[in-house]
Amino acid sequence: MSSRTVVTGLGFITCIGNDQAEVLDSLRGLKSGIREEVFLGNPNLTVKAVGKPLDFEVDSANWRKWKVPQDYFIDSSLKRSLSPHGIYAVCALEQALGDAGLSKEELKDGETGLYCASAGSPLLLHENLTVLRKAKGERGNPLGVLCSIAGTLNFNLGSWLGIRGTNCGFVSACTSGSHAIGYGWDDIALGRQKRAIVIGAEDATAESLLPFSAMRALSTNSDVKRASRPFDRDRDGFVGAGGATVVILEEEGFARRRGAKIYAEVAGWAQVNDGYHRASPHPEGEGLAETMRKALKAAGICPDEIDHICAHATSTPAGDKAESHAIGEVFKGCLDDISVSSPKGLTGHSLSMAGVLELAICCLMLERGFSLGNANLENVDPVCEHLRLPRKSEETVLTWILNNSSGFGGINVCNVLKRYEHR
Amino acid sequence: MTPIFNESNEAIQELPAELQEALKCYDNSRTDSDLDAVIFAVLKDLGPNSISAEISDETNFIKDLGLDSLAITEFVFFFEDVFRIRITNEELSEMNSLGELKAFLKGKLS
Repeated sequence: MSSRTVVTGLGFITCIGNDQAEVLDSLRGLKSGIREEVFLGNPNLTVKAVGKPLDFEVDSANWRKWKVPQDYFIDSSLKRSLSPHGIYAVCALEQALGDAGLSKEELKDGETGLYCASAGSPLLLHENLTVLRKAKGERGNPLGVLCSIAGTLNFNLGSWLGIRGTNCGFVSACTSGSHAIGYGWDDIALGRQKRAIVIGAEDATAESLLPFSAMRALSTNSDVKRASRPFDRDRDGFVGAGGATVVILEEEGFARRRGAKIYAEVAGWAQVNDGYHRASPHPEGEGLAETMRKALKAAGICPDEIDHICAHATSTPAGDKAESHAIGEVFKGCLDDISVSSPKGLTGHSLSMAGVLELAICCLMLERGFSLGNANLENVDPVCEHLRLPRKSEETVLTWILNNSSGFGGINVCNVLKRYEHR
Repeated sequence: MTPIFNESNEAIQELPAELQEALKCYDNSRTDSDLDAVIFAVLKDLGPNSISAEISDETNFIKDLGLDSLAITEFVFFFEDVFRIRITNEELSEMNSLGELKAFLKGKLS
Protein backbone atom coordinates (compact mmCIF):
# COMPACT_ATOMS: atom_id res chain seq x y z
CA MET A 1 0.00 0.00 0.00
CA SER A 2 1.56 3.23 -1.09
CA SER A 3 -0.72 5.77 0.56
CA ARG A 4 0.16 7.10 3.97
CA THR A 5 -2.30 8.02 6.71
CA VAL A 6 -1.69 11.15 8.74
CA VAL A 7 -3.33 12.87 11.68
CA THR A 8 -4.59 16.37 10.91
CA GLY A 9 -6.90 17.30 13.76
CA LEU A 10 -7.30 16.71 17.50
CA GLY A 11 -10.07 17.58 19.95
CA PHE A 12 -10.01 17.04 23.71
CA ILE A 13 -12.74 17.17 26.34
CA THR A 14 -10.90 15.38 29.14
CA CYS A 15 -10.10 15.54 32.82
CA ILE A 16 -6.62 16.89 31.98
CA GLY A 17 -7.95 19.69 29.82
CA ASN A 18 -10.74 20.85 27.55
CA ASP A 19 -8.43 22.02 24.80
CA GLN A 20 -5.04 21.13 23.39
CA ALA A 21 -3.12 23.82 25.32
CA GLU A 22 -4.48 22.62 28.67
CA VAL A 23 -3.78 18.99 27.79
CA LEU A 24 -0.20 19.79 26.77
CA ASP A 25 0.35 21.67 30.00
CA SER A 26 -0.94 18.71 32.03
CA LEU A 27 1.21 16.23 30.09
CA ARG A 28 4.43 18.20 30.34
CA GLY A 29 3.91 19.11 34.00
CA LEU A 30 2.36 15.76 34.98
CA LYS A 31 -0.74 17.45 36.40
CA SER A 32 -3.32 14.88 37.40
CA GLY A 33 -6.90 15.24 36.22
CA ILE A 34 -8.28 12.94 38.89
CA ARG A 35 -10.73 14.40 41.38
CA GLU A 36 -12.78 13.23 44.33
CA GLU A 37 -16.42 12.30 43.79
CA VAL A 38 -19.11 11.00 46.12
CA PHE A 39 -20.81 8.56 43.76
CA LEU A 40 -24.61 8.27 44.12
CA GLY A 41 -24.40 10.55 47.16
CA ASN A 42 -22.97 7.69 49.20
CA PRO A 43 -19.97 8.72 51.31
CA ASN A 44 -19.52 5.11 52.47
CA LEU A 45 -18.31 3.98 49.05
CA THR A 46 -14.60 3.24 49.10
CA VAL A 47 -14.26 4.28 45.44
CA LYS A 48 -13.87 8.04 45.41
CA ALA A 49 -11.67 8.89 42.43
CA VAL A 50 -12.83 9.86 38.95
CA GLY A 51 -11.41 11.55 35.87
CA LYS A 52 -14.12 13.79 34.39
CA PRO A 53 -13.93 16.95 32.28
CA LEU A 54 -14.28 20.19 34.23
CA ASP A 55 -16.90 22.84 33.35
CA PHE A 56 -19.54 20.33 32.18
CA GLU A 57 -22.55 19.21 34.20
CA VAL A 58 -24.10 16.31 32.33
CA ASP A 59 -24.52 13.66 35.02
CA SER A 60 -28.30 14.00 35.23
CA ALA A 61 -30.65 11.74 33.29
CA ASN A 62 -32.67 14.90 32.52
CA TRP A 63 -31.11 16.72 29.56
CA ARG A 64 -32.67 19.97 30.72
CA LYS A 65 -30.32 19.99 33.70
CA TRP A 66 -27.18 19.70 31.59
CA LYS A 67 -24.73 22.59 31.52
CA VAL A 68 -22.14 22.96 28.73
CA PRO A 69 -19.42 25.65 28.53
CA GLN A 70 -20.53 28.76 26.64
CA ASP A 71 -17.97 28.17 23.87
CA TYR A 72 -20.22 25.42 22.54
CA PHE A 73 -23.77 25.63 21.23
CA ILE A 74 -25.72 22.40 20.90
CA ASP A 75 -29.21 22.71 19.41
CA SER A 76 -31.90 21.39 21.76
CA SER A 77 -33.22 18.87 19.22
CA LEU A 78 -29.75 17.29 18.98
CA LYS A 79 -29.02 17.62 22.69
CA ARG A 80 -32.06 15.62 23.80
CA SER A 81 -31.04 12.77 21.51
CA LEU A 82 -27.55 12.60 23.03
CA SER A 83 -26.01 10.94 26.08
CA PRO A 84 -23.56 12.68 28.40
CA HIS A 85 -20.68 11.29 26.32
CA GLY A 86 -22.47 12.49 23.17
CA ILE A 87 -22.33 16.02 24.56
CA TYR A 88 -18.61 15.63 25.22
CA ALA A 89 -18.17 14.20 21.72
CA VAL A 90 -19.92 17.09 19.95
CA CYS A 91 -17.67 19.57 21.76
CA ALA A 92 -14.47 17.61 21.04
CA LEU A 93 -15.60 17.28 17.43
CA GLU A 94 -16.12 21.03 17.01
CA GLN A 95 -12.64 21.51 18.42
CA ALA A 96 -11.00 18.90 16.16
CA LEU A 97 -12.68 20.27 13.02
CA GLY A 98 -11.47 23.76 13.92
CA ASP A 99 -7.99 22.37 14.54
CA ALA A 100 -7.99 20.58 11.18
CA GLY A 101 -9.35 23.62 9.35
CA LEU A 102 -12.41 21.68 8.17
CA SER A 103 -16.02 22.79 7.94
CA LYS A 104 -18.92 20.41 8.54
CA GLU A 105 -19.91 20.98 4.90
CA GLU A 106 -16.65 19.37 3.73
CA LEU A 107 -17.47 16.15 5.60
CA LYS A 108 -20.43 15.51 3.27
CA ASP A 109 -18.06 14.68 0.38
CA GLY A 110 -18.57 10.89 0.52
CA GLU A 111 -14.84 10.57 1.13
CA THR A 112 -15.21 10.97 4.89
CA GLY A 113 -16.10 8.19 7.32
CA LEU A 114 -17.11 8.22 10.98
CA TYR A 115 -15.65 5.68 13.44
CA CYS A 116 -17.00 5.80 17.00
CA ALA A 117 -15.88 4.01 20.15
CA SER A 118 -18.69 4.07 22.70
CA ALA A 119 -20.17 1.62 25.16
CA GLY A 120 -23.48 3.48 25.18
CA SER A 121 -24.90 5.26 28.20
CA PRO A 122 -25.79 3.03 31.15
CA LEU A 123 -27.23 6.13 32.88
CA LEU A 124 -29.79 6.82 30.16
CA LEU A 125 -30.38 3.17 29.36
CA HIS A 126 -31.37 2.64 32.97
CA GLU A 127 -33.54 5.76 33.04
CA ASN A 128 -35.38 4.87 29.83
CA LEU A 129 -35.96 1.26 30.82
CA THR A 130 -37.25 2.37 34.22
CA VAL A 131 -39.92 4.49 32.48
CA LEU A 132 -40.75 1.56 30.21
CA ARG A 133 -41.04 -0.94 33.05
CA LYS A 134 -43.08 1.45 35.19
CA ALA A 135 -45.62 1.71 32.38
CA LYS A 136 -45.48 -2.08 31.91
CA GLY A 137 -44.13 -1.55 28.40
CA GLU A 138 -46.98 0.73 27.30
CA ARG A 139 -44.87 3.85 26.80
CA GLY A 140 -41.32 5.09 26.75
CA ASN A 141 -39.10 8.00 25.72
CA PRO A 142 -39.24 8.21 21.90
CA LEU A 143 -35.55 9.15 21.86
CA GLY A 144 -34.63 6.41 24.36
CA VAL A 145 -32.90 4.16 21.85
CA LEU A 146 -31.07 6.95 20.06
CA CYS A 147 -29.63 8.52 23.20
CA SER A 148 -28.58 5.44 25.11
CA ILE A 149 -27.55 2.33 23.19
CA ALA A 150 -24.00 1.67 22.03
CA GLY A 151 -24.57 3.15 18.56
CA THR A 152 -25.68 6.52 19.95
CA LEU A 153 -22.69 8.45 18.60
CA ASN A 154 -23.06 6.91 15.14
CA PHE A 155 -26.81 7.60 14.89
CA ASN A 156 -26.64 11.17 16.05
CA LEU A 157 -23.32 12.43 14.78
CA GLY A 158 -23.37 10.59 11.45
CA SER A 159 -26.60 12.37 10.52
CA TRP A 160 -25.67 15.68 12.16
CA LEU A 161 -22.45 15.82 10.16
CA GLY A 162 -24.12 14.54 7.00
CA ILE A 163 -21.59 11.71 6.66
CA ARG A 164 -22.05 9.86 3.34
CA GLY A 165 -19.18 7.41 3.69
CA THR A 166 -18.45 4.78 6.35
CA ASN A 167 -20.35 5.06 9.64
CA CYS A 168 -19.46 2.32 12.14
CA GLY A 169 -19.06 1.70 15.85
CA PHE A 170 -16.71 -0.27 18.09
CA VAL A 171 -17.60 -2.07 21.30
CA SER A 172 -14.46 -4.02 22.23
CA ALA A 173 -14.30 -2.58 25.75
CA CYS A 174 -11.00 -0.85 26.49
CA THR A 175 -9.62 -1.47 23.00
CA SER A 176 -12.63 0.15 21.26
CA GLY A 177 -10.83 3.44 20.69
CA SER A 178 -7.76 1.77 19.19
CA HIS A 179 -9.98 -0.42 17.04
CA ALA A 180 -11.75 2.69 15.73
CA ILE A 181 -8.38 4.21 14.80
CA GLY A 182 -7.28 0.94 13.20
CA TYR A 183 -10.35 0.45 11.05
CA GLY A 184 -10.33 4.12 10.03
CA TRP A 185 -6.71 3.58 8.99
CA ASP A 186 -7.74 0.47 7.02
CA ASP A 187 -10.45 2.34 5.10
CA ILE A 188 -7.88 4.94 4.05
CA ALA A 189 -5.16 2.39 3.26
CA LEU A 190 -7.62 0.36 1.16
CA GLY A 191 -8.72 3.46 -0.73
CA ARG A 192 -12.29 3.31 0.55
CA GLN A 193 -12.14 6.73 2.23
CA LYS A 194 -9.85 9.71 2.18
CA ARG A 195 -10.68 10.89 5.67
CA ALA A 196 -11.68 9.26 8.98
CA ILE A 197 -13.28 11.11 11.88
CA VAL A 198 -12.51 8.94 14.93
CA ILE A 199 -14.33 9.55 18.20
CA GLY A 200 -13.84 7.90 21.57
CA ALA A 201 -16.17 8.90 24.39
CA GLU A 202 -17.41 7.78 27.79
CA ASP A 203 -20.06 9.07 30.24
CA ALA A 204 -17.98 8.46 33.41
CA THR A 205 -21.12 8.41 35.55
CA ALA A 206 -21.75 6.19 38.58
CA GLU A 207 -23.77 3.90 36.31
CA SER A 208 -20.91 3.38 33.88
CA LEU A 209 -18.05 3.16 36.40
CA LEU A 210 -19.31 1.50 39.59
CA PRO A 211 -20.05 -1.83 37.90
CA PHE A 212 -16.25 -2.15 37.68
CA SER A 213 -16.12 -1.73 41.45
CA ALA A 214 -18.31 -4.82 41.74
CA MET A 215 -15.50 -6.64 39.91
CA ARG A 216 -13.01 -5.17 42.44
CA ALA A 217 -11.20 -3.53 39.55
CA LEU A 218 -11.31 0.10 40.77
CA SER A 219 -8.78 1.75 43.05
CA THR A 220 -10.02 2.45 46.57
CA ASN A 221 -7.10 4.76 47.35
CA SER A 222 -8.58 7.75 49.21
CA ASP A 223 -5.66 9.93 48.12
CA VAL A 224 -7.41 10.39 44.80
CA LYS A 225 -4.69 12.26 42.86
CA ARG A 226 -2.29 9.40 43.61
CA ALA A 227 -4.80 6.59 43.11
CA SER A 228 -3.90 5.89 39.48
CA ARG A 229 -0.28 4.71 39.63
CA PRO A 230 0.68 2.44 36.72
CA PHE A 231 3.76 0.22 37.30
CA ASP A 232 3.93 1.23 40.97
CA ARG A 233 4.29 -1.40 43.68
CA ASP A 234 1.27 0.01 45.56
CA ARG A 235 -1.22 0.22 42.67
CA ASP A 236 -4.61 -1.21 43.61
CA GLY A 237 -6.87 -0.84 40.58
CA PHE A 238 -7.82 1.68 37.94
CA VAL A 239 -9.53 5.05 38.25
CA GLY A 240 -12.55 5.39 35.97
CA ALA A 241 -12.62 8.32 33.58
CA GLY A 242 -14.53 9.80 30.67
CA GLY A 243 -15.04 12.68 28.30
CA ALA A 244 -14.34 12.60 24.57
CA THR A 245 -11.39 12.74 22.23
CA VAL A 246 -11.53 13.17 18.47
CA VAL A 247 -8.74 12.32 16.03
CA ILE A 248 -8.98 13.17 12.33
CA LEU A 249 -7.07 10.86 9.98
CA GLU A 250 -6.49 11.71 6.33
CA GLU A 251 -4.72 10.22 3.36
CA GLU A 252 -1.48 12.18 3.13
CA GLY A 253 -1.93 13.57 -0.39
CA PHE A 254 -5.53 14.56 0.34
CA ALA A 255 -4.41 16.39 3.48
CA ARG A 256 -1.45 18.09 1.81
CA ARG A 257 -3.52 19.31 -1.15
CA ARG A 258 -5.73 21.27 1.21
CA GLY A 259 -2.72 22.57 3.14
CA ALA A 260 -3.56 20.76 6.38
CA LYS A 261 -1.27 20.84 9.39
CA ILE A 262 0.05 17.32 10.00
CA TYR A 263 0.70 16.03 13.51
CA ALA A 264 2.04 12.56 12.79
CA GLU A 265 1.74 9.52 10.60
CA VAL A 266 -0.13 6.39 11.70
CA ALA A 267 2.08 3.74 10.14
CA GLY A 268 0.22 0.54 10.91
CA TRP A 269 -1.69 -1.47 13.44
CA ALA A 270 -2.51 -5.02 14.54
CA GLN A 271 -4.84 -6.97 16.81
CA VAL A 272 -4.54 -10.35 18.53
CA ASN A 273 -6.85 -11.95 21.07
CA ASP A 274 -5.47 -13.81 24.11
CA GLY A 275 -8.08 -16.57 23.92
CA TYR A 276 -7.44 -17.04 27.60
CA HIS A 277 -9.99 -15.42 29.96
CA ARG A 278 -13.11 -13.23 29.71
CA ALA A 279 -11.75 -10.52 32.02
CA SER A 280 -8.11 -11.17 32.99
CA PRO A 281 -5.17 -10.71 30.64
CA HIS A 282 -2.91 -13.63 29.86
CA PRO A 283 -0.51 -13.58 32.86
CA GLU A 284 2.53 -13.20 30.63
CA GLY A 285 0.84 -10.95 28.09
CA GLU A 286 1.22 -13.48 25.28
CA GLY A 287 -1.52 -11.96 23.12
CA LEU A 288 -0.25 -8.43 23.66
CA ALA A 289 3.32 -9.47 22.79
CA GLU A 290 2.12 -10.98 19.53
CA THR A 291 0.06 -7.85 18.79
CA MET A 292 3.11 -5.63 19.29
CA ARG A 293 5.19 -7.84 16.95
CA LYS A 294 2.50 -7.77 14.27
CA ALA A 295 2.03 -4.00 14.59
CA LEU A 296 5.78 -3.40 14.16
CA LYS A 297 5.73 -5.66 11.12
CA ALA A 298 2.74 -3.79 9.69
CA ALA A 299 4.67 -0.53 10.09
CA GLY A 300 7.75 -2.14 8.54
CA ILE A 301 10.10 -1.56 11.47
CA CYS A 302 12.19 -3.57 13.95
CA PRO A 303 11.76 -3.41 17.72
CA ASP A 304 14.95 -1.40 18.20
CA GLU A 305 13.54 1.45 16.09
CA ILE A 306 10.83 2.25 18.63
CA ASP A 307 11.66 5.25 20.84
CA HIS A 308 8.70 5.25 23.18
CA ILE A 309 5.87 2.96 24.22
CA CYS A 310 2.59 4.51 25.28
CA ALA A 311 1.53 1.67 27.56
CA HIS A 312 -2.03 0.58 28.19
CA ALA A 313 -1.09 0.06 31.91
CA THR A 314 -4.25 0.92 33.83
CA SER A 315 -2.80 0.57 37.34
CA THR A 316 -4.29 -2.85 38.02
CA PRO A 317 -1.97 -5.42 39.61
CA ALA A 318 -2.49 -8.08 36.91
CA GLY A 319 -2.67 -5.87 33.81
CA ASP A 320 0.51 -3.84 34.36
CA LYS A 321 2.41 -7.01 35.20
CA ALA A 322 1.30 -8.81 32.03
CA GLU A 323 2.08 -5.80 29.83
CA SER A 324 5.52 -5.32 31.42
CA HIS A 325 6.34 -8.95 30.73
CA ALA A 326 5.12 -8.70 27.13
CA ILE A 327 7.17 -5.54 26.46
CA GLY A 328 10.21 -7.28 28.01
CA GLU A 329 9.83 -10.20 25.59
CA VAL A 330 9.31 -8.18 22.40
CA PHE A 331 11.94 -5.53 23.10
CA LYS A 332 14.59 -7.77 24.71
CA GLY A 333 18.01 -6.24 24.11
CA CYS A 334 16.78 -2.70 23.46
CA LEU A 335 14.76 -1.90 26.58
CA ASP A 336 17.31 0.67 27.82
CA ASP A 337 16.69 2.81 24.73
CA ILE A 338 12.89 2.84 24.92
CA SER A 339 11.00 5.02 27.35
CA VAL A 340 7.70 3.53 28.55
CA SER A 341 4.91 5.45 30.21
CA SER A 342 1.18 5.23 30.77
CA PRO A 343 -0.95 8.38 30.46
CA LYS A 344 -3.44 6.80 32.86
CA GLY A 345 -1.44 8.00 35.87
CA LEU A 346 -2.79 11.45 34.89
CA THR A 347 -6.05 10.68 33.12
CA GLY A 348 -7.35 7.54 34.80
CA HIS A 349 -8.76 4.87 32.51
CA SER A 350 -11.30 6.23 30.06
CA LEU A 351 -12.34 2.76 28.78
CA SER A 352 -13.80 3.06 25.24
CA MET A 353 -12.18 6.46 24.79
CA ALA A 354 -8.70 5.47 26.03
CA GLY A 355 -7.25 4.34 22.69
CA VAL A 356 -8.25 7.57 20.93
CA LEU A 357 -7.08 9.80 23.79
CA GLU A 358 -3.75 8.01 24.01
CA LEU A 359 -3.16 8.12 20.27
CA ALA A 360 -3.86 11.86 20.40
CA ILE A 361 -1.33 12.17 23.25
CA CYS A 362 1.22 10.27 21.12
CA CYS A 363 0.60 12.77 18.29
CA LEU A 364 1.37 15.65 20.67
CA MET A 365 4.57 13.92 21.84
CA LEU A 366 5.76 13.46 18.25
CA GLU A 367 4.78 16.89 17.04
CA ARG A 368 5.91 18.90 20.08
CA GLY A 369 9.00 16.82 20.86
CA PHE A 370 8.61 15.40 24.33
CA SER A 371 8.11 12.04 26.00
CA LEU A 372 5.49 11.63 28.70
CA GLY A 373 6.63 10.61 32.19
CA ASN A 374 4.93 8.27 34.64
CA ALA A 375 2.79 10.16 37.13
CA ASN A 376 2.59 8.75 40.65
CA LEU A 377 5.36 6.23 40.08
CA GLU A 378 7.18 6.14 43.41
CA ASN A 379 8.34 2.56 43.92
CA VAL A 380 8.57 0.54 40.74
CA ASP A 381 7.02 -2.89 41.10
CA PRO A 382 9.85 -5.45 40.84
CA VAL A 383 7.94 -7.13 37.97
CA CYS A 384 8.21 -3.91 35.96
CA GLU A 385 11.81 -3.05 36.84
CA HIS A 386 13.23 -4.13 33.47
CA LEU A 387 11.43 -1.22 31.76
CA ARG A 388 12.80 2.31 31.44
CA LEU A 389 10.05 4.23 33.24
CA PRO A 390 10.90 7.95 33.41
CA ARG A 391 9.29 9.75 36.34
CA LYS A 392 9.05 13.11 34.54
CA SER A 393 8.15 14.24 31.05
CA GLU A 394 11.27 15.03 29.03
CA GLU A 395 11.85 17.32 26.04
CA THR A 396 13.17 15.00 23.33
CA VAL A 397 12.62 14.25 19.67
CA LEU A 398 10.79 10.95 19.18
CA THR A 399 10.49 9.23 15.82
CA TRP A 400 8.50 6.06 16.48
CA ILE A 401 5.87 5.41 19.18
CA LEU A 402 3.99 2.20 19.84
CA ASN A 403 0.56 2.72 21.41
CA ASN A 404 -0.85 -0.30 23.29
CA SER A 405 -4.45 -1.12 24.24
CA SER A 406 -5.84 -4.20 25.96
CA GLY A 407 -9.36 -5.00 27.08
CA PHE A 408 -11.73 -7.53 28.55
CA GLY A 409 -11.79 -10.83 26.74
CA GLY A 410 -8.04 -10.60 26.23
CA ILE A 411 -8.43 -8.26 23.24
CA ASN A 412 -5.21 -6.47 22.28
CA VAL A 413 -4.75 -3.69 19.74
CA CYS A 414 -1.54 -1.77 18.97
CA ASN A 415 -1.06 1.27 16.74
CA VAL A 416 2.32 2.48 15.50
CA LEU A 417 2.92 6.20 15.00
CA LYS A 418 5.76 8.04 13.32
CA ARG A 419 6.96 11.63 13.48
CA TYR A 420 5.79 13.24 10.23
CA GLU A 421 8.31 14.02 7.54
CA HIS A 422 7.28 14.90 4.03
CA ARG A 423 8.96 12.49 1.62
CA MET B 1 -59.29 17.71 38.89
CA THR B 2 -55.68 16.88 39.80
CA PRO B 3 -53.47 19.91 39.21
CA ILE B 4 -51.09 19.53 36.27
CA PHE B 5 -48.52 21.90 37.64
CA ASN B 6 -47.04 19.95 40.49
CA GLU B 7 -43.57 21.03 41.58
CA SER B 8 -42.65 17.46 42.47
CA ASN B 9 -43.53 16.18 38.98
CA GLU B 10 -40.15 15.57 37.37
CA ALA B 11 -41.62 16.00 33.90
CA ILE B 12 -42.40 19.60 34.79
CA GLN B 13 -39.27 20.56 36.70
CA GLU B 14 -36.65 22.35 34.59
CA LEU B 15 -39.17 23.37 31.92
CA PRO B 16 -38.70 26.84 30.40
CA ALA B 17 -40.36 29.62 32.43
CA GLU B 18 -42.87 30.40 29.66
CA LEU B 19 -44.12 26.83 29.62
CA GLN B 20 -44.31 26.58 33.40
CA GLU B 21 -46.31 29.80 33.48
CA ALA B 22 -48.69 28.55 30.77
CA LEU B 23 -49.27 25.31 32.70
CA LYS B 24 -50.02 27.25 35.90
CA CYS B 25 -52.52 29.47 34.07
CA TYR B 26 -54.23 26.46 32.51
CA ASP B 27 -54.39 24.78 35.91
CA ASN B 28 -56.30 27.73 37.32
CA SER B 29 -58.62 28.43 34.41
CA ARG B 30 -58.96 25.21 32.37
CA THR B 31 -60.01 27.37 29.44
CA ASP B 32 -59.41 26.50 25.78
CA SER B 33 -57.38 29.66 25.23
CA ASP B 34 -55.02 28.80 28.10
CA LEU B 35 -54.68 25.28 26.70
CA ASP B 36 -53.73 26.84 23.35
CA ALA B 37 -51.03 28.81 25.17
CA VAL B 38 -49.67 25.57 26.68
CA ILE B 39 -49.58 23.88 23.27
CA PHE B 40 -47.80 26.84 21.73
CA ALA B 41 -45.22 26.91 24.54
CA VAL B 42 -44.57 23.17 24.09
CA LEU B 43 -44.08 23.58 20.33
CA LYS B 44 -41.71 26.45 21.01
CA ASP B 45 -39.75 24.37 23.51
CA LEU B 46 -39.42 21.16 21.51
CA GLY B 47 -39.93 22.40 17.96
CA PRO B 48 -37.65 24.14 15.48
CA ASN B 49 -36.00 27.43 16.49
CA SER B 50 -37.94 29.25 13.77
CA ILE B 51 -41.35 28.71 15.36
CA SER B 52 -43.25 31.95 15.94
CA ALA B 53 -46.63 33.27 16.99
CA GLU B 54 -47.52 33.39 13.27
CA ILE B 55 -48.55 29.75 13.23
CA SER B 56 -52.25 29.08 12.80
CA ASP B 57 -54.60 26.15 13.24
CA GLU B 58 -53.92 25.22 9.62
CA THR B 59 -50.16 24.91 10.22
CA ASN B 60 -49.11 21.39 9.26
CA PHE B 61 -46.43 19.88 11.48
CA ILE B 62 -44.54 18.13 8.72
CA LYS B 63 -45.13 20.34 5.66
CA ASP B 64 -45.00 23.75 7.38
CA LEU B 65 -42.83 23.25 10.44
CA GLY B 66 -40.48 20.67 8.97
CA LEU B 67 -40.99 18.23 11.83
CA ASP B 68 -40.42 14.54 11.30
CA SER B 69 -42.42 11.69 12.78
CA LEU B 70 -39.88 11.27 15.57
CA ALA B 71 -40.24 14.91 16.63
CA ILE B 72 -44.02 14.47 16.71
CA THR B 73 -43.66 11.46 19.01
CA GLU B 74 -41.66 13.67 21.36
CA PHE B 75 -44.58 16.14 21.62
CA VAL B 76 -46.94 13.27 22.23
CA PHE B 77 -44.70 11.80 24.94
CA PHE B 78 -44.61 15.18 26.61
CA PHE B 79 -48.38 15.70 26.47
CA GLU B 80 -48.92 12.19 27.82
CA ASP B 81 -46.67 13.02 30.76
CA VAL B 82 -48.06 16.39 31.77
CA PHE B 83 -51.74 15.72 31.08
CA ARG B 84 -51.59 12.08 32.26
CA ILE B 85 -53.31 10.85 29.13
CA ARG B 86 -52.60 8.14 26.58
CA ILE B 87 -52.46 8.81 22.85
CA THR B 88 -52.75 5.79 20.56
CA ASN B 89 -50.99 5.36 17.20
CA GLU B 90 -54.37 5.74 15.45
CA GLU B 91 -55.08 9.01 17.25
CA LEU B 92 -51.58 10.20 16.48
CA SER B 93 -51.98 9.56 12.76
CA GLU B 94 -54.97 11.93 12.68
CA MET B 95 -53.11 14.87 14.22
CA ASN B 96 -51.39 16.54 11.30
CA SER B 97 -52.08 20.19 12.00
CA LEU B 98 -52.03 22.46 15.01
CA GLY B 99 -55.82 22.72 14.86
CA GLU B 100 -56.22 18.95 14.92
CA LEU B 101 -53.84 18.65 17.88
CA LYS B 102 -55.74 21.35 19.80
CA ALA B 103 -59.11 19.73 19.07
CA PHE B 104 -57.81 16.33 20.11
CA LEU B 105 -56.38 17.56 23.42
CA LYS B 106 -59.50 19.57 24.21
CA GLY B 107 -61.61 16.47 23.66
CA LYS B 108 -59.29 14.31 25.75
CA LEU B 109 -59.15 16.78 28.65
CA SER B 110 -62.83 17.73 28.76
